[in-house]
Amino acid sequence: MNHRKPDRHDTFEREALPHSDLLYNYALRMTNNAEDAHDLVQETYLKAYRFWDKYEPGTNIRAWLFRILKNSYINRYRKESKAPDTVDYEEVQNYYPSIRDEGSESGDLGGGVFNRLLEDDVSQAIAELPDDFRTVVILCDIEGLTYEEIAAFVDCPLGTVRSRLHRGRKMLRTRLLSYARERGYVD
Amino acid sequence: MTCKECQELITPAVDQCLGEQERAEFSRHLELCAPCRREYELERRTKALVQHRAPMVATPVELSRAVRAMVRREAEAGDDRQESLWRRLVPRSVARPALAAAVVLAVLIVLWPSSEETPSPVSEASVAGADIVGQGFANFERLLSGAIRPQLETNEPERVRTFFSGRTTFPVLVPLTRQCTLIGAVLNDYGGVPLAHTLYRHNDEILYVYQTCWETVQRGSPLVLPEKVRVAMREKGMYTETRDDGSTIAVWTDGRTLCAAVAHMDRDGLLACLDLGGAPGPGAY
Repeated sequence: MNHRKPDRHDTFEREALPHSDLLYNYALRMTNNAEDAHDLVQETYLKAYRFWDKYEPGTNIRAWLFRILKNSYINRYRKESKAPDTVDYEEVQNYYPSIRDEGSESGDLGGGVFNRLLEDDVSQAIAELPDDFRTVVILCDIEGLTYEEIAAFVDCPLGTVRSRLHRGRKMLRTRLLSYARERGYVD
Repeated sequence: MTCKECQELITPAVDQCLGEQERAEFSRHLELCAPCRREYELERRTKALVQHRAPMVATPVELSRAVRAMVRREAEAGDDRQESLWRRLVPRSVARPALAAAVVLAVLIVLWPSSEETPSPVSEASVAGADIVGQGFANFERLLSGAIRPQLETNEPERVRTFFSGRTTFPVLVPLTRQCTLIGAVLNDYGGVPLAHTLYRHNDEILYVYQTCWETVQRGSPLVLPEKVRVAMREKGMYTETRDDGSTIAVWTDGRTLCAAVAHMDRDGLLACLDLGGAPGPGAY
């Protein structure tokens, strides 16, 4: 509203465009495909530009862009986002897993096993995580965001971010261990 | 510290965001408890593996370039709406005065974004129960009168798809016609229901299509589907009606989308222009 036409373009370039790495890496890990990620980021910026009047200067631009990207992703891939209640309930149920439940399968988890896994294996394992868990793993472990920032991005409490991360990493390592086993890196 | 308390701190410990006190207690517990120590090690290694094998990459140069070019195009398009293709195509003289009465306008406004020409706010009474067929004809007349202009003017289906992308609750079908040229598009909402309008040209005639969420229309509010239309769609897959002034409307559905097309053509002429895809074609009845 307070962007006049000639300013609008400059302001947008200055404020929104520098965050393309954040968007691109998220898009890349969600789609697991460079071309799709390209399209998704482009669509995000197009929408952001059209709705630039709706962005309140001084508020969290990264979170704003991220939400546009996430909605575009959901629309494009027609995935139903899970109702938060369902996820939270499940999380409570599983937050305190038995710490011995993997006892037998990982006698050797010394550096060797994991380190022999290659990029493709890791990318694939990330791609197979459910969306909510994949999102926090990408934002925290790949993009290096703080819990506070992630909470603002996905609009949920810090505790939820933390428990999703915990479960997401747990699912990830189960998956990675099974790859390692398939490749014969571990018994 | 119990194992349960320790478990809760594993994730923040891996991310190195424990307070000093917590970290000390956490470390002490790990020294004494092999299972917790193992759990911590596993999560730490998982994170490290992701960081090493799935590192952050830089935005590809061609993507940055494409985004900048697109933003520039958008900015220019925003400034260049004066002498439009639309204005040249639909001069004011084309307006069909018979329907330009104020009564019609009052109803029209419920489906179209208000403009400077809006005579008065729409009353609640006239908003309630906007019927699909009446609105279809009314919008069409308002288009021809020049009171409505496209928000996007283009003959490229891809640009129209991008324009609607993510802004509707139903898939917008573009193009929907044969042997017609796309002219442009308008997006608005009526009582919170998104409506996608597309315009085409066929020889000298304008063909107007509007699309909305079929599920919402079936609920009967805020848009109404008259009983005769509902019956015809159920029995024949499509409803058509030709008015005295020679304009015809066709109403049908395609998946989750309700489509209505209007043009100054007879029924067969209009149906010949429509590409009905998976929907029952004119041959079906």
